[in-house]
Amino acid sequence: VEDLEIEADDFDGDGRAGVVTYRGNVVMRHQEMTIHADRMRFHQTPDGDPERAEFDGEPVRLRVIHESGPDTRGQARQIHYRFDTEHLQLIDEAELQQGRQLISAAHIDYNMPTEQVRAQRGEDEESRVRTRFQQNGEEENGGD
Amino acid sequence: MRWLIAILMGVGIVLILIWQLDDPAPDVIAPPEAPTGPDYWMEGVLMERFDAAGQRILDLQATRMAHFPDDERTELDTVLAHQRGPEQLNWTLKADHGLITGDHSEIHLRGDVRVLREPSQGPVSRIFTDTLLFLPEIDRAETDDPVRIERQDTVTTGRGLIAELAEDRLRILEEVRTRHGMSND
Repeated sequence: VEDLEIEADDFDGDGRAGVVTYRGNVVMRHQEMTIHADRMRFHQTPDGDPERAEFDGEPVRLRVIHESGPDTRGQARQIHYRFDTEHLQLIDEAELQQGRQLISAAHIDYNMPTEQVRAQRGEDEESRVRTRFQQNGEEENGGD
Repeated sequence: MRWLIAILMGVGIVLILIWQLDDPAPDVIAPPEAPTGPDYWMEGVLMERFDAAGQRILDLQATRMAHFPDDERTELDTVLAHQRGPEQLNWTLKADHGLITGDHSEIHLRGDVRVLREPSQGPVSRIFTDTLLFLPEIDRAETDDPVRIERQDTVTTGRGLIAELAEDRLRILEEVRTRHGMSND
């Protein structure tokens, strides 16, 4: 894993569990991706390599800059990320915007290398997966 | 009238002299200042500490140790403290200087302070700071100074640290920044 940077107000490392909890104004930058959250649980392999990260926030905000084309932006109450597969899970009030397409669902899986997106509704009846194509200039600002 | 004033002054002087002579309090001679220097010192020191079950939990080495009677403190040069934690986790604390308080509850480390965390598995962590208060009886070390933690390719910096050695837990209190695999590190 290269080019990973995390900033926060507070750091709590549990050596036994191999988990570090960052709290307060958490910003994680990894290659072209930036995530803003209130809290981040950072799991490392026994050898000390980054394995996965779990973010909580009101909401957690995501932004991915692409070499070409508009950024991908997303938000959810939780975001989980695996460093090995670069796979993102947006959980609970999830939204993902790619260009003019805005997807809203209970749960969204976003595979960055393949750009595959899978959205799922929640358990309750009213929960639906919605996709909206916005007019030009209507793009929402999902993160900075 | 003048002679009356003269008589009064004379009586006053006599009374003062009598009072001085009757002063019961002898001049107390101040006790000699307690020596500020050491009353003894040693070189090439190794101290070992055992828990109630006879297990060795801490050993402390120093190139020089001096004891000061005025407050019972002990000052150390080139300190190396080695604390065993659970599950074969070892902590080593190094510093240019150390000071053990009179009741032995605190060890104040200063000068190029380094803490080494050696787990039975996985990479070693190295912590760097300027001063560190080590509390061996409650297995804790803490500082308000800037800290830097290196572990494998991960470097974390911040300000203020609390290390719970027995629980293998590290907290950085402010301005936390972690960098992993950064080309310019």
